[in-house]
Amino acid sequence: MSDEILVKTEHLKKYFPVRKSGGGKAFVKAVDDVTLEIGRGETVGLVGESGSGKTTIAKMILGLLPPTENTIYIDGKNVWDRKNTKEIRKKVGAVFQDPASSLNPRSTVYRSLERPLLINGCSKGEAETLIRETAAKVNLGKELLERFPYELSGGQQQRVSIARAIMLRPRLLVLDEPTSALDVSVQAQTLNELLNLQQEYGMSYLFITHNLSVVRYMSDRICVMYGGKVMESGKMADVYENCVHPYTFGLMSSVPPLHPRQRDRKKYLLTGDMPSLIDAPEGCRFCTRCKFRQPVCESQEPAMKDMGDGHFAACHFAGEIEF
Amino acid sequence: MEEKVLDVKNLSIDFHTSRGCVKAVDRVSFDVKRGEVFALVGESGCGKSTTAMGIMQLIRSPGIISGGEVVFGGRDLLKLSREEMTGVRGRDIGMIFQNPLDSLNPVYTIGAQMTEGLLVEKMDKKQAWQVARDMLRDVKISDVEQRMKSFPHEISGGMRQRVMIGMMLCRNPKLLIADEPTTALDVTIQAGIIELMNELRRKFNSAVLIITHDFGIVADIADRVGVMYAGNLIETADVMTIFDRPRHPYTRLLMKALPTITKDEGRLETIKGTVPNLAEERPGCNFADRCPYAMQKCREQKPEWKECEPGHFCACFLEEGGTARE
Repeated sequence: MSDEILVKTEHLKKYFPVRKSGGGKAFVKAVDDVTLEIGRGETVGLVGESGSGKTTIAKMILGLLPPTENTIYIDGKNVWDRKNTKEIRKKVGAVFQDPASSLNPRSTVYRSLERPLLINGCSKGEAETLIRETAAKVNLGKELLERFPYELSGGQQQRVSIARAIMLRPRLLVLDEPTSALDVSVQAQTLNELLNLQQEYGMSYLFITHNLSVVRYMSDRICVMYGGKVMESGKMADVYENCVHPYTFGLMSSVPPLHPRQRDRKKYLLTGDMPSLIDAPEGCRFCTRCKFRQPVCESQEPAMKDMGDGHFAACHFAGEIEF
Repeated sequence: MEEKVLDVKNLSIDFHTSRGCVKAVDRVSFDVKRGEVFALVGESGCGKSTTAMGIMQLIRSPGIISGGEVVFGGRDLLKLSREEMTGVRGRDIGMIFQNPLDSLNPVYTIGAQMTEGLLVEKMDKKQAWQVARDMLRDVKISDVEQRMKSFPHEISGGMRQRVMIGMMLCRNPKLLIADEPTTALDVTIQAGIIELMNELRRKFNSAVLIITHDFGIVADIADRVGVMYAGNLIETADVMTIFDRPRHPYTRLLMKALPTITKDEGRLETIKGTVPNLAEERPGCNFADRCPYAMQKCREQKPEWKECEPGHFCACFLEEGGTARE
């Protein structure tokens, strides 16, 4: 494995068993055959509608949900090998959408930040120095350290979550909708802070969001998911400006315009809903909503097509469709 | 002069709390004309939803409407009795909220809920069913017969919001208030709802007051925009002017905080500080502490609400002196 790659997973699968009405077992294929790599210092954006499997991937990478098939390697170490657990947990940090529910309401900010350090063998004194240093890095005022989460604003709570996640100086930060609950002005501050921290510590980010403007601002590469599968991936600019998958195009044109003058832009609105992932169809998962659908799409699952320069798309007609 | 469907004048709403009187909405004035979409935009806690609730008179204790007028159809809604107001809600003014699942009754079918309002108006049962069914078609729901018999939990979030819109339009209200109608939905579903609202307003020519925190939605659907900050309306203008020539420093900064660039192109603009505590009486402008252009005057006096060019209103001292543009 190359030294440039921090996180690597191939053909990752997560199937949830469900009981069928009338007896018998079935599986929800929440993540189905996902191959993903994250380079050192790189930000990979994971986008898609709700239910596309973004968070399930995050949970498997964090070691919170065991994959059904295959595994994830971080720094060449298997996340799902028990003997690596402690080491991996130090290397990976996580920030979730709702900061209020990810902080312990009975711990002061200081206690929340101290805990990971004490668990990993820091002395109280060392911990204090590190906490003060990290709090300053995320613009968390000293006076806030002795407060409880409910005494903080949403933006401040999210900064505490970020501080806690980087306490052990991880190599990877999994950011699952970190700014979705925040206001625009607070979101801007938080995103800028994340970029600064990344520059300083050289961390890799897995940035999960449904907000395409945010992911465009943050990412080097993006990966578009639909129904548990990767539809298109590549460098951010390639995917944004020259997307080849009809789903990506549909998703992009659903984003509201930046200016009222763009109201009459070319649009391709997706109709209908994501199909049930229980006993998902044979062919392309997107074909039920795709207006470019051909008979082959219903019978045969498209393979990942290499569009050059690290740009991939899972569509039989990638590169052939004029949007 | 176009017909004003709704004319809000100096509306003030206070919440009396143990920590003092919070002026959640402070002398807000705007109007919505026939066939027009007016967007109230601002960050959480700025008072945009409270303003809408005030118009509908749904403010609950400890909140009270402490002043102003809400002129609708030639009468001041604030002077109506409870019974009269009940007649206005739903019939003359429809309202939809962020989470349609909270607005729908889980134990009644869509059909029963759609026709309820019509039956109140003594419409014949059969006819009401037909009106409701046709309305579901208008809001682009497939399998209408089937859907009329479905329960809210059996349909998707996007469909529920369509049902809510249809339910409100059934009684052909003069004004539709939509409070963050797409915030709980995926972007693909949101785009469909916005498209639908655009189509319906042409068809029904009703006035729409949309409340949102998302400037993208404003750009997509609004004709005129009002920007709120900390209980005050700080700027209103038509949508092109707001995007091209915003005047108030808060509007300008907020626009620059939107992630419209990539990280290689630069950094987003941020607004320093936080929203002030509205329970504290402040002599000056509520934005003064965070404003990069704040002058001495801004901390001592409240800026007046003035028309700085035809149809463009702004509450800022910079506009009066005409100094410090950028």
